[in-house]
Amino acid sequence: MTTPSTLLDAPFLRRLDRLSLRSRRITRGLLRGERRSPRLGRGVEFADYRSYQIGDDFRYVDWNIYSRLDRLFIKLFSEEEDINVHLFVDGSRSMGWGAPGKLDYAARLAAAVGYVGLRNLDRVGAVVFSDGPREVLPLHRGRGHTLALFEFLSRISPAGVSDLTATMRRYVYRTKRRGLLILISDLWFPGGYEEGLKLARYHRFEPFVVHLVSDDEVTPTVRGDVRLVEVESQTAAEVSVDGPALEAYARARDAYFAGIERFCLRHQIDYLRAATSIPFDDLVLRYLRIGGLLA
Amino acid sequence: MTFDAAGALWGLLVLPLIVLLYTLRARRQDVPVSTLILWQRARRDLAAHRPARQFERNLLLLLQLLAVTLIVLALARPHLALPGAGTAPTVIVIDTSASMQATDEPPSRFAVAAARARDVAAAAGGEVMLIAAGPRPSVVVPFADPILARGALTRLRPTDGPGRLDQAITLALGQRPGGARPRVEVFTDRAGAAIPGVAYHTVGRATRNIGIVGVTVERDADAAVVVVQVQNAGDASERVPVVVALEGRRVQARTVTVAARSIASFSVPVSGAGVVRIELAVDDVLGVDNVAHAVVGTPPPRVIVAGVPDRVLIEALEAIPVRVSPAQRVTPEALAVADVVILNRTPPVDLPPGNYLLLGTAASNLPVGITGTVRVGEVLRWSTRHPVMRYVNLGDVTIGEALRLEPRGGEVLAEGATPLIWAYDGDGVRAVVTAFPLEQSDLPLRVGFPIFLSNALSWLGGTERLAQAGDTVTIPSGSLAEATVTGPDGVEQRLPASGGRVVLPAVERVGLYAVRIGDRELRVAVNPAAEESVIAPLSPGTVRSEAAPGDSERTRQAWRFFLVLAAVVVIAEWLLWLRTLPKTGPGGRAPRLLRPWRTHG
Repeated sequence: MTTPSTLLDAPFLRRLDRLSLRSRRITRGLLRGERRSPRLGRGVEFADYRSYQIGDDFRYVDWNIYSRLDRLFIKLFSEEEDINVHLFVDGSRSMGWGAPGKLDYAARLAAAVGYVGLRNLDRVGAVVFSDGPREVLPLHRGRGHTLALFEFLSRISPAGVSDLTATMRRYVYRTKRRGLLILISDLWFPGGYEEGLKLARYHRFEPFVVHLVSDDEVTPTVRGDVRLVEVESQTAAEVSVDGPALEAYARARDAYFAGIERFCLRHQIDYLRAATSIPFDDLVLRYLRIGGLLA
Repeated sequence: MTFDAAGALWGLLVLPLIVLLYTLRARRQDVPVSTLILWQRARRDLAAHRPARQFERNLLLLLQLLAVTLIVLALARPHLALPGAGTAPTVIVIDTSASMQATDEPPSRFAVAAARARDVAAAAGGEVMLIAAGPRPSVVVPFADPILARGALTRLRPTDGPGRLDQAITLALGQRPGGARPRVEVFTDRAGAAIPGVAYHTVGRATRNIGIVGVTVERDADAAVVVVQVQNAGDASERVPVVVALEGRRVQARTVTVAARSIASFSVPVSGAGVVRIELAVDDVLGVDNVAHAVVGTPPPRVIVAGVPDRVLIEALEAIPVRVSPAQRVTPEALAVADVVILNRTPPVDLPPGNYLLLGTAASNLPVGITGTVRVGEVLRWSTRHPVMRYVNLGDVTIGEALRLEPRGGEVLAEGATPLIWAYDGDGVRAVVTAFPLEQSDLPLRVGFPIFLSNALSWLGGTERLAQAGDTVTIPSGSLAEATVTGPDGVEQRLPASGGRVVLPAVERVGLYAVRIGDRELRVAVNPAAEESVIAPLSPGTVRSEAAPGDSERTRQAWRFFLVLAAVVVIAEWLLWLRTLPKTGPGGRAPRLLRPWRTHG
């Protein structure tokens, strides 16, 4: 069982302090934050000019241009705002699989991303789902909510059958705060992942999919005539695992992964697939930066 | 193809077991997995290739079955008869004994065996020798072109006598044409113990046969008594009608009941002289032993008894058809008128030519020495084939003190720790020596004593008128140099006399033989050999030791060929099984585990 103190250690958190979340799209927040806002206003970064209109603040009139052109122009600045970060952690039974367990790995990953968001004054919330939102941590802003986030994530245990579509359908209607939706899952959804992600896109969330797989899901270690029992649904299938069967499994696996990649590319969804055997530090500090989630 | 270790073929019972194990579905072990999504898709993929996979699995099974079959065949040590393979010489030994006349394999066992032997001769690559295993094994055709052996096989006929198969095989194994050891192919109905390098071809199926296995003539006070022994070699009791006739005149007709695998005896008193014919009216596969003859009414031999008087001996002689004359002194004149001289515990002397029964003594001119005395006890071994010992059982005879004989020739007929009865025939002297005096044994109290005495006097006097096919018949010729013998087939044959005797070597046909010596003519009845009435075929035992070189080369090639073939099949099966394994790693090619990928930005 992961505890808040063991989720992320202090040296690692200090290394996260230098990072910030990157959003592919500029969304509108509520409060001033450390992120460019689509609104041009009181920021410090120059964005554009426009003609003066009655009522504009004289302090933003560019007097140098006025002296040369004898016309009034207003300097526009990019306003830095906060973003909403929705951490979606798959808590179904299949996430309890692997060594290390995928769910522990996902909780630590969500904690790291959430910490970076809270550190940069973004609004961070978390959702643990299986066949629906099982536990929800509402969006909060500020570093003071870090411990609450960690406690929330440390309580996660695998349970239930995963259904991303049902989860999204219920979640998108209960919040109006769109933003970055980070889905951390093994994507073993019996009903498919496509509808859920489409639903998130339709409701203007910006999904970022982190696909966690364990090594034995990539390369099965089972051999011989066996009866495979799925931990989620307890359904079983008799399989003779020999060379041809393993080759067929490899083909099915590659096709499945390729299908996910094609879907995400087509729907402009960021996608990162990682095995739980990858050192966690490398994933966060290196691959998530390469993948564009952190900067 | 024949097998040295045919019992190994029981190993083929493993085959259905393998098929059974293959068809049985093993109880599958439950293995938890995170998801079945990929496995279900993989199964759909496998289902698309099911015919090919099914074929591969069946092929594996077939190869396993083939490998087991080949290994079992190799363990059975097969002989492969390859026509024309090699040029090793071959010796064909064919049994020409009387039992080969049995017609259970039409037209006869011998005809079937000869046909098979001709096939073997035709297939032989090298030279072929043919040996007939009759009463006296002989080389019919020496090593020569196989066509000569085939021709001889066509002409060869079985005898009425016993077959000396062991002697014939010994003769065959002793051959070394060109220094090479030949293959020996034996065709018989009663194979002996398996011998390395000897291949048996057994013929015959039937076991039922009734035959006459013994005919003796006992002389009564005023008539002869013919004792007949009938053997039933079959597995069921038989009632056998028997007809006894003297010179064509029926003397007796009766029915004899003979239990399974046993012998029944009956006696027929016959008055007069002439030839008695005994015939079994039975329908069996061997006819040669259904008829026997005996000659009755011949004058008894003259016997002189010298030495220590013995009442038991005299009483026994009175029961035997001999003319006994006691002699106080052994002189040449006295011996000249006797057919047989009995010396009872006389001091050793030089014996002139003649016939002698020595009881508890020996002669200084015989090739036997006396080195003291010995305590005997029981008789351990005795001959059953020598005419003197025929029908004599010494199993319950106890002997006290006996002379310690050291023979330098002749034939020991009975022995304990030292020779007890010894027979000699040479240099004009024919003698039977008993190392013990009669008073030192209970032999005179046994049934076998008068039989022994009668046999000995008949053999010594050369007056035996009864013989078995295969026996050597000796007839005194006096001073005449030759005799004329007319066989049952009417063929006349002149035989030279030697040492005052005419010898008929190993008579092969049953029936009456007429021997004319000068103006004297006598008849000898030759009857079927007793051992030939048991016609149940015998198969050879299993060869455990290394086979003979001539044939072993082929034998080794045979089992090694199967073993190498089995190894090839096993390797092929293994390679095919390997194909079912992944080519790179246990799960096939592994995907890139980490896909850092951002579609925009």
